Amino acid sequence: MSIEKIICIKVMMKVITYAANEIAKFNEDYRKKLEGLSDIIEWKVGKDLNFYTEIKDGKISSGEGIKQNPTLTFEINDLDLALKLLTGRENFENLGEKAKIIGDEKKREKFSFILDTIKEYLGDLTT
Amino acid sequence: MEKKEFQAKILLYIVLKSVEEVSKVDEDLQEELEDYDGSKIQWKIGNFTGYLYIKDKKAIGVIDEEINNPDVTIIIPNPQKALDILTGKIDGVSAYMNGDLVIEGSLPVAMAFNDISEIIMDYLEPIIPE
Repeated sequence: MSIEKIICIKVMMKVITYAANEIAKFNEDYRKKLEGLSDIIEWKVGKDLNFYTEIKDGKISSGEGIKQNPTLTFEINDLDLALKLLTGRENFENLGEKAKIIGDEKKREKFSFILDTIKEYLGDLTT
Repeated sequence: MEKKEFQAKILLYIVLKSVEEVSKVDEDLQEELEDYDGSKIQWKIGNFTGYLYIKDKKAIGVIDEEINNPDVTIIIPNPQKALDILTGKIDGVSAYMNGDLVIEGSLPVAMAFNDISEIIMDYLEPIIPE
């Protein structure tokens, strides 16, 4: 796996978490939606990159490694695809068979507003 | 918060965290950082701050905080200019000469960041468009 892509994925996971929390400070509608969630999303990227995103009490935290009992797990083998998703250049709705989703896929719709809102604020920064 | 200021803040965050991550793995960057061991580089962009602390050939990047006694403070009042400088669309030296970027403190340490960012930009190519 390309070290550059691995670095970018690690950085973007942190960036999305930070951006998501920052937006909650000034976007009331978004903050209210976030406060209604209590979930763990697991990310398995490439051969051995594992991340988690936890949404709890209106805040988002993330880290490397595995958390127990995730609400949803995304398995994305292709690092380029992972980067496109994390930078908003590809949508989760269009994944099809390119990624494996373990868990109730309808729950993905619950979280989609987070990345959609981040993309709204950052769209022309990384696209 | 204005959209451009938010974007500039996120971009600085990307840069700070990238230096952190790359310093863990890139020997060229580690060699560069070794020359500036103990250095503290503070940024003030628009209404937000961040800093980079270099220690033992690694870097720690922190946003929304100021560090005590920075060796250099890099000030960019205009968030759009900050975006252009941090993405490399405007060269830092040119920005300094034009007054879009102000340096308080050690110019050599500020110039070191120029070298650091050249190494980082190679890693960030997949996420920072040209």
